[in-house]
Amino acid sequence: MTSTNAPSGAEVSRRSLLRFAALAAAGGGLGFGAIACSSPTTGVDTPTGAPHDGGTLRVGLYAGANDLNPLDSTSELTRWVTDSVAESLYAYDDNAQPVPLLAAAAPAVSADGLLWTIPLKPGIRFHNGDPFTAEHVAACLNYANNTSSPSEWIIYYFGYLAEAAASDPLTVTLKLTKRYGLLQSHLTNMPMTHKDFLKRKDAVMGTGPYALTRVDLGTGYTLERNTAYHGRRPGPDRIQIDVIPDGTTRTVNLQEGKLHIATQVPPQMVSVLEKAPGITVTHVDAPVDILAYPRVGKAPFDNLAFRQAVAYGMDRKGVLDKVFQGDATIGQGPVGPAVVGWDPAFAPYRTETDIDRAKALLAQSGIKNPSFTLTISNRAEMRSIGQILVEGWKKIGIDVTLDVLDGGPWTQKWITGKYDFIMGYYQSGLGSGNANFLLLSPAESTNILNSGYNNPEVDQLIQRTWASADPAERATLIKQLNTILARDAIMIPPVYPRTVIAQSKQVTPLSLPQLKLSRLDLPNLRMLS
Amino acid sequence: MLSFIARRLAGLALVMWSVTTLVFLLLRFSPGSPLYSILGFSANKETRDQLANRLGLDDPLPVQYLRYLRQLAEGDLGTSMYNGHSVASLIGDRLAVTVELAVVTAVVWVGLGIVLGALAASRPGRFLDGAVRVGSVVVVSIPSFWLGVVCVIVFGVKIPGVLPSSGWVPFTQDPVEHVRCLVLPVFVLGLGAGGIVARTMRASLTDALRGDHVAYARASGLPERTVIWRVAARGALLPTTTVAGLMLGMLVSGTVLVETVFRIPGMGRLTVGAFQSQDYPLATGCSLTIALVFLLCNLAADVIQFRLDPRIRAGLDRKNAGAAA
Amino acid sequence: MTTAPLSPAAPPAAESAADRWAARAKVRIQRVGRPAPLTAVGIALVAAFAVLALIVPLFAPDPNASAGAPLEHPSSGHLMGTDHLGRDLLARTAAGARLSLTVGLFSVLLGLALALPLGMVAAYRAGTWVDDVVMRVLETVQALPVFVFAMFVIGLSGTGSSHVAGITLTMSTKVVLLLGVSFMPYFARVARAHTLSETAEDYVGALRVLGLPRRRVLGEVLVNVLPPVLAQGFLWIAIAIFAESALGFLALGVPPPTPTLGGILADAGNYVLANAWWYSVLPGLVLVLAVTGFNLVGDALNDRIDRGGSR
Repeated sequence: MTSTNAPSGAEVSRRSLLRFAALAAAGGGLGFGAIACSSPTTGVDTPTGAPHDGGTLRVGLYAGANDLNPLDSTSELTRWVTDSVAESLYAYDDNAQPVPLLAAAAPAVSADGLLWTIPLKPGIRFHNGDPFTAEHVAACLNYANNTSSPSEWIIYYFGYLAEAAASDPLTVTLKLTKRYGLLQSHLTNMPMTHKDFLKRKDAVMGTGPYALTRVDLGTGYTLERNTAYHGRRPGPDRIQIDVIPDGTTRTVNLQEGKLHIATQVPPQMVSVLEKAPGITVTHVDAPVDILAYPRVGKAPFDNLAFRQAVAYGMDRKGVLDKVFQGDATIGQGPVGPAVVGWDPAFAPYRTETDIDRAKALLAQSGIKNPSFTLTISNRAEMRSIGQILVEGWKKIGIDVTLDVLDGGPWTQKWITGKYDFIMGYYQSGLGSGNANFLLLSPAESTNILNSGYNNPEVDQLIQRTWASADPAERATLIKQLNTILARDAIMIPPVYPRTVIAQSKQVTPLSLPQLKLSRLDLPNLRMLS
Repeated sequence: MLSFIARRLAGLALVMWSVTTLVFLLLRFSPGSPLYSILGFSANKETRDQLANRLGLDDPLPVQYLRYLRQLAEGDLGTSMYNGHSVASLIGDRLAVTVELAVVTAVVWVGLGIVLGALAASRPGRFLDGAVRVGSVVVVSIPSFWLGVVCVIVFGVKIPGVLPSSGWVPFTQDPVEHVRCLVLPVFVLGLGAGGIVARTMRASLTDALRGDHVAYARASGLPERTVIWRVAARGALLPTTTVAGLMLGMLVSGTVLVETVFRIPGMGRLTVGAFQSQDYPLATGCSLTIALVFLLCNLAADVIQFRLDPRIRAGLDRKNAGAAA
Repeated sequence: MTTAPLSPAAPPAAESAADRWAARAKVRIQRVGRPAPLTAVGIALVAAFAVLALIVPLFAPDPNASAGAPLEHPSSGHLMGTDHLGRDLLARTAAGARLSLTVGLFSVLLGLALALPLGMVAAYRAGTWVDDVVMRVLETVQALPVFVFAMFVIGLSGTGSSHVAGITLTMSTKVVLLLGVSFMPYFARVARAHTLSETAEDYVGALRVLGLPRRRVLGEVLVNVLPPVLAQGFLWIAIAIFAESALGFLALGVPPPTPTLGGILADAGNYVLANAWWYSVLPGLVLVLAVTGFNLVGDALNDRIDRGGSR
């Protein structure tokens, strides 16, 4: 550009300006074209060597946990950090069956089912050197069962557990008020921590293969290997967990080799990552749910035909195709493919929206000018899902307003019942395993999260399900529950999403059986040279 | 001079007090209670009441307000509702990161803006002048969040290894990597501000070059370079300093977008997190800190201007005289 | 009619303020003549943006309805392609532009409405406690950046409609209120500065000597203060459009499905890696060009008023 012999006035000549602007625009455009079109040149070489111990494992999470106490929160944001630090009495084996971990054997249950005795393994120590004893276990259980503690586990124990006590340093006894076969599941899912750390939200003290050594609030966590660990030697010397809220940044960091594992890969990035060398993407059905509760206790959702119209008019296919790129299962009742009681043959709702049927039901409901507010949690997938559903319902003549709320206000609406229809993305697997506990219990009329649904038959079925110690019996009962809840349109998720985790080929693959239970099993990863 | 600063400091204290009050009222009157986000969904009424009592949320508003003011007066920002850490220590770490980012950005871009603006003004109508005039407007109009995502992708995927696409390495850990980490955030954060500085510098230098003292300097045969850089630029720097001072304050508050995209552990992310989790003390502490930084930058700009520009001093005196009359 | 500001010799009360203002505006327009090239580009950009915001939505399909497959390339069917939910991107960008323009205009108008009286009163009573109080209030508001304000109001009340004292506030209204209040101090300062220099003029002294009530005197001053403040306001439309999009990006703006430029860009950022370049680039260019246009025109207005102002 030397030809700008512009007049010596203050203004640059029109021609040179236009040329400059065109150049700038073209440059910008070309730059973008280059970004979008050229094939990716990165990717780390795929290693071929043998797995070895040591090194730093790097994991990217999509948000930071507010509360690092696993006895308070069952959120994956908490548990994916603390699972390597605090262990449970039992662990899941590769067939999702409980095996003793901190316990020495399976619980001994009295004939009436009301007294559980659990022997503990001797010689286990916390990271600070204190011996792990029954006293700590009893303290944890009683903390979780205390209505004045902020523990989410209260829902799991309340009304069942009378008291936990240490009958000797290596024996815990649990007194129950009624039969509770499902307790085994809770004992497998709930981590045990040091009793002096029960009220901490910023630290966790456990017996696990790693100790939490550094917390950068909202940005990252550092775990160091516990050299005195009682179990199998963990692989990496250090686990660095970083909070990377932006999906693109998280994906790019994985491609760059700055991360070994990226959780919550945005669906649209999956195809990009699958093509990238050096990266494996794992899709697995895990207990991840889109909670979808209409407020049954008030109009318009107190009307069964209206609920069913909303359920049949839900654009499940739109959600499946546009949000999850086809990588999900069409939603029916609350029970999805990753949990006990899943019945693939039970499919009252088709993939395509049944507009005629929905309209007929709407007419049957007798509600004129129907409208409601759909309250969703603030997450990219939920925002997309919400918009698709709102458009879908518009087609059958229901006017739906979308309300997007952050975690706190969203939870508040849920607890206080001040919603028409509430939806959120929830990983129930860390608290409930594959047992469906958290998912189904709000259907019980006495539950704090109940949406106003009161069906004695369901109440009774739920009671029987939780009381049973026989997994096969529970599965049968859950199938019945699922059918009723789908029929009455009480819990109607649009799809069952899958868990998608991307990892670098520089580390050994994550354990699939553990992923199916929403667990990452980081200690057993090994670096590949 | 001292009395000017003293007066401004008193004003600043007054403004900080009203900011504190405003923040306090905004928080208490916004819907949504922190109790639910702290307690999760398991809490029953009694539990919530107990916690409200422990946090002092059930006291009458004036009591809460006075307690809060007394705490602040003692230099205590309180403790985070979640993890019990002192708010001051949480903010301290993050503020250092954000202030470093903002200061480096300001130094780099104010420097660049001044040089570009001056070069443009000294060659009116030439290519560089046109480029600065158009460029300074266009760069101000590019959203930083958009540019940031593009940078992450370009440097992360398309040309990897040139610069870190994101992340933060403390200076004490690796000084070289620390500087490399700064490059992209500084570029994205300051680009628009640089445009504003260049524009201001160009305009004020153009004005200054029309001034009598410049004509005199030229007439006395000084070389053009000296005329521009020694004579005219001195006066032109004044408005530019003002703009730069204001800019610094805005950068500190404006880093939130850049911090999110480049995952930098700064004030912006802390503030967003505090509000998302409804951590009253932390959110208030963050807001007050940001306000204080902004006000201090304003004050600094005023003081510099006061020092450089005799007209303001005169104006101030006249104003005072008017007030006395 | 002379172009100079009213000299004390001219009978001040003979014409109404509005007449005089119209006359001055006419003179000003005559003085404008042909705009400088950059200004012309700015006017063209603003005009194009206005067409996009006001006219295109009349012809475009429903911006919220699915109109094709997700992430279709630009084609004759969809001039700007489709977004991640298969909606027409041109329709969404146009609707977003309309919202940005509306929010921009109204927030600036609100800011001006709040700022003018404050700034003028402060200047008129310069040096008194009134001035001090007003200035401290302005600094208080100024010290809290827009995003902190937004956090308070939106982060805590949600992005839905709020009901305050029986009035329903939609999210767009909340954004307008937020931006308007945040802009107020900047406008008030401009108003104060210009009022100060006006009140130093001889004619104001003359009006006072003639015994005009204070309200009338301020009315006379307003006529002269308004043009520079309005010019400043025009410049801030650009900032408002920008701020609205940044709020949208932080998910603190108008919630989905309503399209906003910031919301579109925030979503689009997630699809750049997925090779959907048009999704980011085209709405991004609209935003950049619109803000550039408003900046160029605003600058030109300010320059002209500075040059042809009271001196």
